[in-house]
Amino acid sequence: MPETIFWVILFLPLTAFALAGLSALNQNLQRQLPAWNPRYPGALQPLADQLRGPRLASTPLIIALAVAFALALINLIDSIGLRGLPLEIGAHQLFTAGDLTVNLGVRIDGLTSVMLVVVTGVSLLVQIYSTGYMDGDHGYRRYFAFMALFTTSMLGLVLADNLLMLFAFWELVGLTSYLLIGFWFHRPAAAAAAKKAFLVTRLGDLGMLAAMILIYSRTGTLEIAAINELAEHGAEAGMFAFNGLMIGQTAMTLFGLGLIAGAVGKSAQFPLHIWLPDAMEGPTPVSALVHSATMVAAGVYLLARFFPVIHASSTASDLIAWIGAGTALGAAILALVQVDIKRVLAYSTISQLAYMMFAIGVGGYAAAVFHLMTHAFFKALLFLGSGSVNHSTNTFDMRKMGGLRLAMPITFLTFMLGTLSLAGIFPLSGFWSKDEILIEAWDHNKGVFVLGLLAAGLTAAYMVRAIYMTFFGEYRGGEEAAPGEHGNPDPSHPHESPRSMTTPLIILSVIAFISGFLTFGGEFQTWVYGALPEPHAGKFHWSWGIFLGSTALALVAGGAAFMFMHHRDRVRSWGIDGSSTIPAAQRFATNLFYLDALGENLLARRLFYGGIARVTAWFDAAVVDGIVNHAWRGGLTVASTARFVQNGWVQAGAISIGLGGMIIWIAVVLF
Amino acid sequence: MDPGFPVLSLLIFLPLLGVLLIALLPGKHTPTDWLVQNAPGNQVDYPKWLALGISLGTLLIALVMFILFDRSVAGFQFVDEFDWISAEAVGFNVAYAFGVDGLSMPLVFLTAFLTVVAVLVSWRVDLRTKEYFAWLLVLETSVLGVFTSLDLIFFFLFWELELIPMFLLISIWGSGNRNYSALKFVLYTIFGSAFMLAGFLALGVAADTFDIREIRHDALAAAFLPAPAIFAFILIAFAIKLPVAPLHTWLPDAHTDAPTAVSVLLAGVLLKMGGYGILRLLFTLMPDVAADADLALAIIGAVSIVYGAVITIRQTDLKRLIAYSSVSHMGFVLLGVSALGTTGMSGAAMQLVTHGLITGMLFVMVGLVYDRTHTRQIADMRGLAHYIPLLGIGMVFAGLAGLGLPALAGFVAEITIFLGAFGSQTAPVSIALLGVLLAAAYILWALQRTFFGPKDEKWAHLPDANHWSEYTIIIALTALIVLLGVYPSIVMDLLEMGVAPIAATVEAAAASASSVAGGG
Repeated sequence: MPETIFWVILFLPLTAFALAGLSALNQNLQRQLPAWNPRYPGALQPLADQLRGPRLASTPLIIALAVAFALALINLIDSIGLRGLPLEIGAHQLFTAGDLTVNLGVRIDGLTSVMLVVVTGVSLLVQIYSTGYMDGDHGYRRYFAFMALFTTSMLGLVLADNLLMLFAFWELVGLTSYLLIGFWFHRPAAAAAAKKAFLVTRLGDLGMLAAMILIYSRTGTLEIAAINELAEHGAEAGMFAFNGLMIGQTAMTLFGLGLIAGAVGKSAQFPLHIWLPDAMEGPTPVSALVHSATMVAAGVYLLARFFPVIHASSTASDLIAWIGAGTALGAAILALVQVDIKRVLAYSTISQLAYMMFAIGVGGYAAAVFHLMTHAFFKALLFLGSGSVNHSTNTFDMRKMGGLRLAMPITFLTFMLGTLSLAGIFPLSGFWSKDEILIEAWDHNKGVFVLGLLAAGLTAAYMVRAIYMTFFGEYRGGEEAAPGEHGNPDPSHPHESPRSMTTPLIILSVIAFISGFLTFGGEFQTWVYGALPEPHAGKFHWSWGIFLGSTALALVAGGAAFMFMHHRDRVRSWGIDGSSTIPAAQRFATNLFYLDALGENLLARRLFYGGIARVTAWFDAAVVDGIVNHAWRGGLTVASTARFVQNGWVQAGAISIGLGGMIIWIAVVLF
Repeated sequence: MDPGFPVLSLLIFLPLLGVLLIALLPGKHTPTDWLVQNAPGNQVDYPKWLALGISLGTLLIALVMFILFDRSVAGFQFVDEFDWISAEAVGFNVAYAFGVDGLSMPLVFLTAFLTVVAVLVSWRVDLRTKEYFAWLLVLETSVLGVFTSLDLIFFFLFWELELIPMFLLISIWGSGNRNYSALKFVLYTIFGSAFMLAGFLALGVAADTFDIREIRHDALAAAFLPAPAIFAFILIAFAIKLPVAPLHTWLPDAHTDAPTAVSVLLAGVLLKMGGYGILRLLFTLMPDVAADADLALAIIGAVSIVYGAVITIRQTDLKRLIAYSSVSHMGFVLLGVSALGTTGMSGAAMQLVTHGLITGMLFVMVGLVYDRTHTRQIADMRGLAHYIPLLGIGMVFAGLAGLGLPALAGFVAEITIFLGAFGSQTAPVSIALLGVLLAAAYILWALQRTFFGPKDEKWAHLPDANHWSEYTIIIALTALIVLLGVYPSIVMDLLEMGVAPIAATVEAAAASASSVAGGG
C-alpha cells in the first residue's frame, strides 16, 4: 500500500479530534456568549442544530475509525502476503539542528500491521459502546475529543519509524490517558488518579528518555531499524558494530534497561504498577481502551519493537523475565481479594501484561505479541461488560450485585466468554496465546515457568469468584446514582443495556473466541517475525503436557473457587473464611502489599515534599535570598550613614576642612 | 537582505514614536459636558488604542522582516549603521549599528508579538493609563535594542534603559510588596551591569573597537583584565538576568508583584536577554574561554533546573510557582550552550523562544484568573474549571506545554538540548533529566488543586473569558505554541543559521587551544 494510506489512518481520528474539540468549545462558548449561535433562517436552522448537537463529537470519530479499520485490515492482508516483511518507505525531515536530524516516518511490517488492526478495531467498538454509555453526560463532546486524540496517539506510536517520534507519541498517549482518567475531574479521586498515572508513568519515561539520548550520543541515529540491526548483528568482543555504527556492550545494556523502565511504567509492572488500579476512576470505556489496545499495550509493544536490543544483553532480558513472572503472580493474588469488579480486572490486566513481559524476557517474541492481541480483545470485552453491569446497578462493588445473569443475559454470556478466554480454556483465544507463552518459558526458564503456571491457576480462580459475585446468587440491590450524575434511576430493577452497548460486546466475544486460531500453522508468528532484522518462519507450538497441565490447573482452581463461593456459609462455619483465619495475609494483600503507601506516602509525600523540597525551599528563602537582602540592606545602611557627611551645611564643610588641615599639619610635623 | 530603507531602525524606534503620540494626545477622555458625561461609550481610552496600534505596527514590521529574511545568507541582515562617536575625536569608536541574524530575528519577532499580548492583557487597566502604556512601549524599544545592537555601548545603553520602565511599572501598577520588589529588581540588575560594563570596557579598549563583528578574541591578550575575568564579569550580568541559581531570588518577587503584562514581558523577553547575551557576546567574543568553561556552565545549568523545580513544588502562590519554574526552564539554556555544538546551542536558542511563548501564556492565564478571583493563593481555589471552563482549557494547555508535552513548542527545545548535550556533558544532563519529572509534578499538582475538584460555590459568580481581547490572546498564543511544536523548522532553521557560526568559532578556539596544549 502507498505511504499516504498510513498517514490517512493517522489523520482520520485526528480530524475527528478537531471536530469534537470544536464542538466542545462551541458548547462552552454558547453558555458564555448567548449571541454566539444565532438563529438561522428557515431551512438552515435544522442543519445548524445538527452541527451544534453532541453527535458532531461522536459520529465523525466512529466513521473515521471505521475507515481506518478497513484500511488497516487491507494493509494486514497485504502484509500477510509479504510475510510481514517491512515496506520500503522513506522518512520526511521535520527539523534539523546541527548534526541532529529529526524525521517523521512510518515503518510498516507485520508487527505494525497487527497493531494497527487491533488498535483501530478495539477503539471503534469502544466508541460505539461509548455513545450509549456516555449518553446524557455533560462532557459527552469533550469525552470523544479526548478519545479521538488518544487513539491518534496510539496509532502514531505504532507507526513511528524512529525512537524520537515513538517517544513523542508515547508521551501523548500518557497525556490523553491523563485527561481521560481525570475526565470526571469534579471527583477528587479522579483528579488525583489522573495525576498519579501521569507521574508514575513519567518516572518510567525518564528511563526511556535517558535511553534515547544515550543511543543517539553513541551511535548518532534514532532509527529503530538501524538500532535493531546493530543489536542483532554486531556483537563481537564486547562491541556492537554494524553498518558504520558502533556501541559498547555496557551502553547497549543500559539502553535496553532504559527501554524496560519505560515499558514497566507504561505497562504497569512492578514496582510502577501502582497507578493502574487507581486509573479505574475514569469512565469504564476508557478503562476498556487503556487496558487493552492502548496505553498499557504500548509498553509491551516497545519491548517487542526493540526485541533484538533486549536480547543483546542477558541482564536486560533476565530482568524483564523475572519482573514479569513476579508481577504475573503478585497481581493475580491481588485480584483475588478485590471487591470492586473493575479492580479485579485491573489487577488481571497487570498480571496478563506481565505474561507478555516475561514472554519477551525468555525469547517468546511472537507469543508475547500474540497474547497482546488476544488479550486486547477479551479484556476490552470484560471491561465493557463491567461497564454494562454498572450501567444498570450504578456500582462496581460486587458485594452489591449478584444474580444479574437473569436480568442481563447478553452481558452475562459475553462476560462468560471473556472469562473463559482469560482463564485460558480450550479452544478460546486466551488458551492458545497463554499456552504459547508457557511453552516458551518451559523451554528457556523453568523458574519463570512455575510462577507463570501458578498465576494461570489463580487467574481462573479470581475470575470465577468475580463471576459468581456478579451474576450468581441473590441480587443485592445495586446503589443509588450519585447526585448530579446520570445513572439508572431505578437500580433495584436491573435491566439489559441498550443495543449500542451490547452489540460491541457480542462482536468482541466472537473475536475473543476465534482470534486464537490465527496461530495454526505458525501463520501469525511468521507475520510478526517479519518485523525483526532476521525474519524466520514461525512455528506452531504444541505441547500435550502443558496443554493438559494448564487446562487441568485452570479447571481445578476455577472449580475450587466456585465451590468456595457457592458454599461460602458452610465454609465459613468451618472457620476457614478468608476474613477470619488469614486476616493478616488478606489485609496485606488488600493494602496492595503496602507498596502504594510506601511509594506515595512515604517517598513522595513525606521524604520528598515534606523533607527535601521543604528544606530546599527554606534554604532558598532564608539563605540565598537572605544574603541578598542583607547585602543590599547593609548597603543602604552604609549609604544612609555616609549621607551624614554630605549634609550640605556650609559650617560643617568649614569644620571638616579645618579638622582635615589640622590632621595633615600634625602628620607633617610628626613625621 | 538590504531593503534600501532603515527598516530595522523604524522597528526599534516606532514604539518610542508611539510614546510621543500618547504623551501628546489626551488620556482617558471624559467629556466635561454633564449631559453626555455619563453616557455609555463616551469614554474613549486613547492611550490603550494607540498602544495597540503602535505595537501591532511594530509586529507587522517584525513579521515582514521575518518573511523577507534571507535564509540562505549567514551573517547580519537589515544592517543600519553610521559612526556615532568617531575615533579621531576621542580615541575610540562607537557606532550606531543595528542588525539581525538568524539568532536575533526570532527573538525580535517574539518581543513584538508579546508586546501586543501585553497591551491586550492590560485592557482593563484604568490607573494612569497614559503613563502605563507609554512605559510598556519604552520597554519594547529597549528590548528590541538589546536584541539588535551590534555595538557593545549601544547594547549596554538599551540594557540599562529597560530598568526605568520596569521599575515604574512594577512600583506603580504592581500589587503586594511592589516597592520592595521593584527596588530589588533594579538593584540586582545594576549590580550585574556594573560588572558587565567593566567587562565591556576591557573588551573594547583591548580590541580598539566596540563593534561586536570586529572584536577578535586573540586581541584580548592585551586587555587590562585577564580574559577569564572579563568572561566572568559579563557572565554575572547575564546569569542574573537569565536567571540561574543562586542569583535568581529577585525573579519570584518581581513576578509576583508585577502587573500581568509586565510578568508576561519579564518572563517572555527580558529573561531572554540573558541567554541571548551569552550566545551573542560571551561565546562569540571569547570562544576560547567559553570552551574551557563548558563544564562549569553545564553544572550551573543542571543545578538550576533541579533546584528551581524542587522549590517550585513548594510554592503556594500561582504566580510565584510559575516564576520558580522559569528558573528551572532557563537552566536548560545554560545546559544547551554548554554542549558547545550547533545542536545544543540551537536547542538553547529554541528554548528562549518557546519558553517566552509558553511562560508568557501561563502568566496571561494566571492574570486572567486573578482578575476574576482576586487571589493567587492555590489553597483558596478549587474546581474553577466548572465555572470558567474556557480559561481552564487555556490554563491546562499552557501547563501541558510547560511540562514539555510533545507536539507543543517546549518539547522540541528540551529534547534538542538533551540530545545535543548528553555526549559532552553526560553527568549534568543525567541530573537535569529529573527536571522533566518534577515539571510534570508541580504543574499537574497545581492544576489539580486549582481547576479540578468539586465545585466551590464561592466561585459561581465568576465570568468566563468574555472579552475579545482575551479570546485574541489565548488563540494567538495557542496557535504559535502548536505551530512551533509541529513545524519547528520555521524557527529552528533560523536559529541554527544564527548559532552555527558561533559553534564553529568555539570549536576552532577549542581545537587551537588543545593543539597548543598538545604541542607544548
